Amino acid sequence: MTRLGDRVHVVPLEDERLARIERAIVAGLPARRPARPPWRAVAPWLVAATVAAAAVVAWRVVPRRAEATVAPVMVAAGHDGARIDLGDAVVVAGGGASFTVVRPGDAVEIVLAAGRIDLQVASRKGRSPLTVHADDVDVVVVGTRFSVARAAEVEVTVTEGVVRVERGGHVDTLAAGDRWAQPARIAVADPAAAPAAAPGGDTDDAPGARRDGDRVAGGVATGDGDAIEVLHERVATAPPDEPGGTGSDRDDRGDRGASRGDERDGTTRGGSAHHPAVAPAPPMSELERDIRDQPLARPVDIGDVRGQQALEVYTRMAIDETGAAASAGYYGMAWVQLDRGRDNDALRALTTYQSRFPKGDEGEAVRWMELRIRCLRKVDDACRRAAHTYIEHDGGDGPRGRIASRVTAAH
Amino acid sequence: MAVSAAYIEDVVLVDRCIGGEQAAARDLFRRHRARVHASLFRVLGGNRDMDDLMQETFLQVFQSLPQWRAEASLATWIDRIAVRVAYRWLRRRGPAPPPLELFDDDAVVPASLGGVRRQLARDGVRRLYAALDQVTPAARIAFTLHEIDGRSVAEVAELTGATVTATKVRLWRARRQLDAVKAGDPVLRELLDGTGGAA
Repeated sequence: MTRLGDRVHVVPLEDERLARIERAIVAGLPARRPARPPWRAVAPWLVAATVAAAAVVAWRVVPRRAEATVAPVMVAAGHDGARIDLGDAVVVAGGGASFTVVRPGDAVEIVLAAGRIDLQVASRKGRSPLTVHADDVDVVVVGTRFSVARAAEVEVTVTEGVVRVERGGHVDTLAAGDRWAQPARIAVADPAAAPAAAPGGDTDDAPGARRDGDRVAGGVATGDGDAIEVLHERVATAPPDEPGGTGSDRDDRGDRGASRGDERDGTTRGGSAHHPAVAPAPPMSELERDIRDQPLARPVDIGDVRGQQALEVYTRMAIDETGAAASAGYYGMAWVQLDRGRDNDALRALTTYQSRFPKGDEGEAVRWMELRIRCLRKVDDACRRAAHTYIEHDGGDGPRGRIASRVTAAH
Repeated sequence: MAVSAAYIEDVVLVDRCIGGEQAAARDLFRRHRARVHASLFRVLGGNRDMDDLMQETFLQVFQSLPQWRAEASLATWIDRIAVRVAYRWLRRRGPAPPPLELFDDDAVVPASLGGVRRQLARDGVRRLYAALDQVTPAARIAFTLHEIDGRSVAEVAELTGATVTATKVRLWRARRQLDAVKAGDPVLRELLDGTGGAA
């Protein structure tokens, strides 16, 4: 199966045409140099600490509205390094370090291009965290002292407090005295190192010995197997981050809902993999099994979303749309609620559907879903009414009709 | 904010553009033109009005560069402008037949297909865009960016300035419309059902 995008090939523009477009664009640019916005009054590369300090002063006087973003200031420290006071953090840059500081809202983002920076961050209680990005590593801090270095590898050392290191979905928490290091995705030259310092050890342990998330506490990473095992153990026991891993949604769904999902589409779906049942299921009656064996019609496709998000989409559809689109929305709502083990909410959506769209496209599916919900609870009057309704509208001759007929006769 | 390896280069380039350097403007255009063109092509289905759209997009980019705050990557920010330009163009144009160029241009279908399959694929693409002409511009943009340009729903939402939920509803509307058309159009059905990402 190919993607639709693979079937539509972009026809490139000829060079002449591109050149014409380019000429037209350049000709349309303002003839005079526009005034630079205040934040760009700072030269892009500040070569010495004194210039950097001036830039930061200019930057700091910009009012800090809660939603405003003060755009980047870039700093390149000279050979002797630089000390920069950001107001709520002090950055001491090592020789040759270069980085950019951005303030989206009340957060502080520092993008480390190369070199080493030491930071002393005032408590950020009540404010967004300060984050240092080095390669694809994010170091998130709420108030502490630490350093980040980026060269052939990214290294984080914590002096005081706690920081969170995030990379590729893995999160590590470092406390004072911890050091975390791993190869950079995009290595940059270490500006403080002599040219001959890089090779040797780095190339030996780069591929396998120090993998993603490797963390070395209170010492230097050696690629030693035991150290890596310890690390993995810590990562494995950390609270899972993924939504649905241990969330309330799974609790709500329960075993019944999960097994329904599998029956319906014949697959185990992402995020709801089954584990062996803790307690054996009670024996299932033949009627109950036959009801469960009947697949439920899937609602209209809204892409790869589930749970609350899917419910929101279907609800919007039900409320905002009219006619067939609205009826599809109500059926989708019922389907999602049933999938989450919220049978009563599913029944409410089904009831609304039947009163608003007595001749809706999903009528048969709606009536079967109601029968299924009610009769899997208990074969009582409500269940039998649902079965009668099904037979009345959809007949008693098909496989489902025959099951409905058996329900009406069941005790 | 999104951080990429090209982030600092972007900032420097933008700074030079704002400073009025024509060489920087050319550089910025050349860096981003292929991606912008590809996205616009997939939204519109052809190159007929591409010169105007590319010009309009990049002129707006250069006019707005002082407002770029590095909250998004430069590429995303430019794409957002391109999508806005496409949206306005689609709204101005209203329902219309797809560009004739698309019917005749062999390059619009993969070169690996031959003979009848190639003809079918070309017809399928033509019919797809004819069907998309009946879809609202917002739904068309959502569908083409997601299903054809291969962007995630979240990315589409970001580019169009809509919520993820609204984007999903737009996708759903487009799919529903295409479902209705393909029911009576075996060529379009072959195109859509032969792929994993369509209605």
